[in-house]
Amino acid sequence: MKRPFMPITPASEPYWSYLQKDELWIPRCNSCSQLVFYPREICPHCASLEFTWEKMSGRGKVYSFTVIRRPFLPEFAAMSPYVFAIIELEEGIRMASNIINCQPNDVYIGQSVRAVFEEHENGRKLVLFEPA
Amino acid sequence: MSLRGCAAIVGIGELAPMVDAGKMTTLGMASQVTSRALIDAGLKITDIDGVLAAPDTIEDPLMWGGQVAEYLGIKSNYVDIVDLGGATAAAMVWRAAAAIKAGMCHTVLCLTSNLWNVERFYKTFIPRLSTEAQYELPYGPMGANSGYAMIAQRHMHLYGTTPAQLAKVAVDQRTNACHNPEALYCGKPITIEDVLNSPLVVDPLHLLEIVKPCSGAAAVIVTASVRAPDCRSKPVYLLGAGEHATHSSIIYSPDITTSPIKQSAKRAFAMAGLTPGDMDLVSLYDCYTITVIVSLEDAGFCGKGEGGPFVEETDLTFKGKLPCNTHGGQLSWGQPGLAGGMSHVTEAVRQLRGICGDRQVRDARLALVNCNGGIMSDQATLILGREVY
Ligand SMILES: [Zn+2]
Repeated sequence: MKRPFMPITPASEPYWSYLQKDELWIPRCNSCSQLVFYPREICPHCASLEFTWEKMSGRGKVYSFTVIRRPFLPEFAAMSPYVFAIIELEEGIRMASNIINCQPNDVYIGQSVRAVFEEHENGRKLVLFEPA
Repeated sequence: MSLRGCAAIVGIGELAPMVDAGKMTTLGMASQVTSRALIDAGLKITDIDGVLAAPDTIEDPLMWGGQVAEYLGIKSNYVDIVDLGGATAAAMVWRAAAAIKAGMCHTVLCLTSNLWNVERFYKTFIPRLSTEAQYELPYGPMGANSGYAMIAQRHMHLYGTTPAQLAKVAVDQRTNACHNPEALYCGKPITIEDVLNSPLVVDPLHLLEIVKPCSGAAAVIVTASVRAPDCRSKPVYLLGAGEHATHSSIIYSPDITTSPIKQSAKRAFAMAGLTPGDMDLVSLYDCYTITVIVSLEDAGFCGKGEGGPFVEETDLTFKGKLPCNTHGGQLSWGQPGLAGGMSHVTEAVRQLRGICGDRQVRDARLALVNCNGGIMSDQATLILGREVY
């Protein structure tokens, strides 16, 4: 399917580049040592501008989710119903994703999931999650 | 310095929500409600010296505040746009009071006017997203629907809130709407079963738990309290106000089942010197049923996590123990863009004036109004009173 990707920004370039190698990396603030997601040019915890990128385990849990039955973006019509979720990585940060490779009705909060990397039509890769 | 008692709402003008606005225009609707609000207040357009306008959420014109002021014929000492989504209306009222208190102006028109155009909305939706939506959009979120659905899902998981408890909010508000001829769903009572049998749109939320976008407008005139007694209608005083936000996208909320109303209501009550128990009614932004439950909890009307049983046991209609959204709320009255948020202000004003007829809450003296923007993001809370208690 053709997902709607948005332009990559200077702050997000490493994130998307690592995904192309099937790896999930997140910036950690050099000053307060907190992981920051989404990647940006300033630390939202301490306003520092310096980060070091770190590889994530790809393991996490479902923090919350919903089953989308009437998508309003036409690109997703063929995929519905599908699970849109917030994943909490074991490293502590949360991100949006989809849970795939299972029935929407089998997804639950607290479920263990792991990252999978999916290539799309335009060659860009995206991190999704499946039951671990 | 506090805003307590410094300003009053002296005029309201509103259009009933419209599913089909025909040939109406944004400025045309703004004209209608401005005229109504001026008549209500017994003021002339030349008495207005400040304008706070809500953005045109579809067309996004440049320097909109100035365009609105010019069109209406207002020579302004203060003009601005308040762009906080659903929180805009209540946020305007305290900003108006603050500008008045600071001496920048004395009488402010707070204006919301929005035409709903579904094709136009979807066409402009993606181009208007922040670049930071790059981490969400490829996963196919469903705007506010998927955000509030995830809030509801986690609330159910943590606290055992049930679909029937969520549905009760929609049912009580529909009862209220059936006593308000201006409500879109007046004359169409519903039961909990009706809600639960309506299609699941975005789990766990059903169609009847989700607002219906439409077109409409509302204007509110805020003036200095010293000027209020000279106005035609009974003034309603601002006793407290608070505002807070912790996130824009719900993905990055510190805790998705806790609303920033926790801080905004706390600040509003502190300013007013009042508590939740003092309120005779509440007017809570209700884009979804879950929004009302979380707002009741975090504003302090029940304990955290007890919102489900609380709404199940509490009659939220105008006849009940805690009247909530007596106009029907946006779920049953309609969501005419940002005027939907303003409906929570105008209904509280009508109740405190005692002019609600059939749905009048007996001896309503104090009301809490909360407006909620984004995905439980910006919160603006007001405490309004019939007098400065
Ligand atoms: Zn930092």
